[in-house]
Amino acid sequence: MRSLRRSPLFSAVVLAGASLTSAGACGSTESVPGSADAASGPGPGTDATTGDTGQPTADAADANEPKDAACPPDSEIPTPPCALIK
Amino acid sequence: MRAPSRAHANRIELPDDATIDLLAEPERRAIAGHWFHRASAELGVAVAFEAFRPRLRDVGAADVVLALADKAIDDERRHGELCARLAARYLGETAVTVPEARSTALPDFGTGDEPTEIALLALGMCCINESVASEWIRSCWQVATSPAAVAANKAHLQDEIDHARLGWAHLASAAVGPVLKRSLAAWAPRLLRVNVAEWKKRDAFLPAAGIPAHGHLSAVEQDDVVDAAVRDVVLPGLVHVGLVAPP
Repeated sequence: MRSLRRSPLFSAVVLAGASLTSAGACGSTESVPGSADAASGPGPGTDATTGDTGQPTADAADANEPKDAACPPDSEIPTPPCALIK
Repeated sequence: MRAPSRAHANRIELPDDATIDLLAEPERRAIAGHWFHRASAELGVAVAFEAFRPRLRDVGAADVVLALADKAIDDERRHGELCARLAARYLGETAVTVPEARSTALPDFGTGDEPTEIALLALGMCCINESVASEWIRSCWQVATSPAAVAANKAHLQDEIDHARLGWAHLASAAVGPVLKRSLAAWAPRLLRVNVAEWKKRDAFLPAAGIPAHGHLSAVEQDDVVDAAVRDVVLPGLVHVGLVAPP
C-alpha cells in the first residue's frame, strides 16, 4: 500500500487539529500541542519533505473520487476566501 | 480608506530593517503593493470568520472550534494591520493607511443543508486554504533574510496553523457524522481542484522571479509550494478524517 508523503506541518496542523475534537480534548486552544511555537519547529533550511519515506501521489484525489458525486461541476464550485489567494 | 491605524492590543512588532533601504525603488513599490493588497484581503477574511462563527455555533460545532474561530477573527484583523504597516515601511512612509476589507462573502454551495454548507466552508476555507497558506508562509519564512520579513512571516505562520486546525477539528468532530462525511467526500476532490487553481494565479504586484530575501517566492516556487501542501498536508489530512480512502 502506498503512503502519502507528509510535511512537518501535517502533525502541527492536521493531527493537532483533529485531536482537539476526536480524542477527548478539553475544549481549549491551550491544549493544542505546539500551538504557540509551531513556527519554530521546522527551522529555516529544513527540508519539508524528508519526514516520511512515502511516495508522492499527485493523482490521489482523483483516484479516490466517488463516482456518484452529488455536487456541481468544477466551474460552479465557489472558492472560500483566503487572504493569500490573489 | 480608513484613517491611520490605532495601536492594537496584540500588536506584532516589526524589527528595524536596513535591508529595505537597500532595495531598488521598483522592488520597494512592488512589495508595498503586495502588502497593501494583502492587508485588505486579511481584513476581508476577518469578516468572513465573523460570519462563519455564529453559523458554526448553530450547527453544534465543538467549543474548541468556536474558540478557534474567535481567535481567527482577532488574528486576521491583526494581520491586516501588520500588512498595512509593512506596506508603509516599504514605501518609506511613517503614516500607516489601513485599507477597507476586501469583500469576501461566504460562498453558498447550494446544498440546501446548513450542516453540509458549514462543513464545506470548514473544508474549503480552513482545511484546504489555511493549510496551503501555512505551507506557503512557512516557505516564505524559510527563504526570507530581511528581519522584518522573517518576523512578519513567523507571526503569520503561528496563527495560520490555528486557522487550519479549526477546519480539521470540525471535520473530526461529532458534528460531522458518517452520512455528512460521505457527502463531503464527493465534494473534496473538486473543491481541492478549484482552490488550487486560484492559488496558482500570479501575484499582480511582485516579479515572477520573486524577491526571496524579503520572503517572496518566485512564481515557480509558489506553484511547487501549493503542490507540496496538497500532497503532504491536505491529502493525508483528508485521509486522516475519513473523507478520502487511503491510497
